[in-house]
Amino acid sequence: MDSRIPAIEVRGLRRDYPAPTRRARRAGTVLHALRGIDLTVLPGQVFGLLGPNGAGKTTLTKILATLLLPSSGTARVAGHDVVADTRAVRHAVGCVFGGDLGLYERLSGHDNLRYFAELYGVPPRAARARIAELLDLVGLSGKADARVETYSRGMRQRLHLARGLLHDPQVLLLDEPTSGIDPVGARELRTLIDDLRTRGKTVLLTTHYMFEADEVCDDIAIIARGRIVARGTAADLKAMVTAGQTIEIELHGLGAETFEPVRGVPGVRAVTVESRDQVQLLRVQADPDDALPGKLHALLGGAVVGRMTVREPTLEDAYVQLVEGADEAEGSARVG
Amino acid sequence: MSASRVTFAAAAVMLKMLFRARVVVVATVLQPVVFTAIVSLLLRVGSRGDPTLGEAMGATVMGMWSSVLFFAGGMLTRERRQRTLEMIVAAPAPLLLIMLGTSLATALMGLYSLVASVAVVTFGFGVPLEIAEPGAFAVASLAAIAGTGLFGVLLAAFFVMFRQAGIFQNMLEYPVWIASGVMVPLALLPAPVQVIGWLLPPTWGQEALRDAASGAGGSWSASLACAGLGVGYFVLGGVLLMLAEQRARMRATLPLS
Repeated sequence: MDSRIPAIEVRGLRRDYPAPTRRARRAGTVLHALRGIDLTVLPGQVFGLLGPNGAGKTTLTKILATLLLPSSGTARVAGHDVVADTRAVRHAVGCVFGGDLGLYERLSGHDNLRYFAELYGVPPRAARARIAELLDLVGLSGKADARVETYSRGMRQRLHLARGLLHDPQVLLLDEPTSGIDPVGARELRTLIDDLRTRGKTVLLTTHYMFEADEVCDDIAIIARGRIVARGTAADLKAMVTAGQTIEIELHGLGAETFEPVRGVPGVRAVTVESRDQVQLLRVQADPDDALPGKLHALLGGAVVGRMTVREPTLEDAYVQLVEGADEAEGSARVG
Repeated sequence: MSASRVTFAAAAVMLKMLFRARVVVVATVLQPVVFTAIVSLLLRVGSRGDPTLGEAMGATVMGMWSSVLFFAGGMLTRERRQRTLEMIVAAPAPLLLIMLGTSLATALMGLYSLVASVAVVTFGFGVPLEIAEPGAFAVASLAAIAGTGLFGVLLAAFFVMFRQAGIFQNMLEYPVWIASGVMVPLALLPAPVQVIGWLLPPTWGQEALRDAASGAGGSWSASLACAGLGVGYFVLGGVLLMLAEQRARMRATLPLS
């Protein structure tokens, strides 16, 4: 690929969906999945798109894969427009969507790959060598002749990846590829992505696992409510919240209403609660303030059952703060 | 990318999947045997003598139509359900060629229908295996497979374009058998039904096979009509498929969710 041409270039991309119910459609309700995305991914980059469920990650990936049409704006992959040059984009892109489905269950892994090699126009002789190489790469050589219906979720995911790489695409779109697979499988997949980077492939990886983005991505964009709310390297994003502190407090059996006053404490930027067995972990991101832990302890009273720790923010903290910020901005815009 | 390779690959995958589904194999194996036996028994019980090889061709076309209706017609809906539709649409190969391969594969299963029907009347009812015009019979077999198969492309496109139409898929089996004259001679049906019959490739496929087997003449022109109608429906199916794909990309309906 010409290194001067961006691997992915998106300008003012919007995508609306009609409301799911007939009544809402009659009322003219439209769901805005993407609200003006601008994005440039350079050739050879592993680019992470981080965002919560419903943020618009899959919609963006599907537009780039030519499976969806944008409502407005433009998107180009390897220099080809996704609306006007569909065929050229399909040659340039490999797609890997997460999940158990998307494979022919009654066929073997090998047969699945052979079929898709034909659909991608890989010459038969080259396809034979390529399939063997990819099965080896994803660790499925020993199960290549077994039917896909006998595969575990991790094996299916690796087969998806092999299929995405069959035609040696310039750009690989990975939509939550490690979702639902075991930690060992996920680590192997990340190693594989790293390997693709060394081969000069451009990878767009959507995920909601912070550590995954931190580990493999050269550049990251955080997407929330259809907008990109931050962009940079993992270090850049962490730096956005380093002028602050993260306080974690272990609590027991409290209702959501108990946490609300914490949000109102001066200097508090974001509050999240995570349930772990019988214990809840309250995570507070705040401005630097030595007195804050004491204030929180007093506010929560006897509910504090375990440790209270104060630490430097991580990428996850940056993510939470940015996504919550987007939610709040959306809420105030709606109120306003 | 070679069009023939894509078509062949799609046909091979379809056949492999069909043969690996036990219920499909049982239905496909039994159906033509049962149909031919029923037709032959009706003729014998009705004191109209033993069946002829030509009459068995009706059962052949019935089997061909059933497999195209259910396996090719439902192909895109099945692909959508198992989430492979997005994967094949994301590939650069035209969806039309994939559909062509799939439909021809299902129609090819009609070859078995042909062999089974001939075997039942020959071995079960003692009808001599005499084909009056073997050359015309071979061409008629190919025309019936191609015409019915190409019609399957239109069906698949129609069922994917109008999802509610899928409800009628099960109901279409008998009306087409009747309208194509495989159960009752076309001449005995009301005029509007006859017109519908003339527009159906199975009508001409059956006529071509029957005439070639009995030597009644007219097999070549019926073969031509069958193949010609098939090509017409294939073109129509191609246009509909293109519209369906465009609409699915616009409405986000490639996956079911």
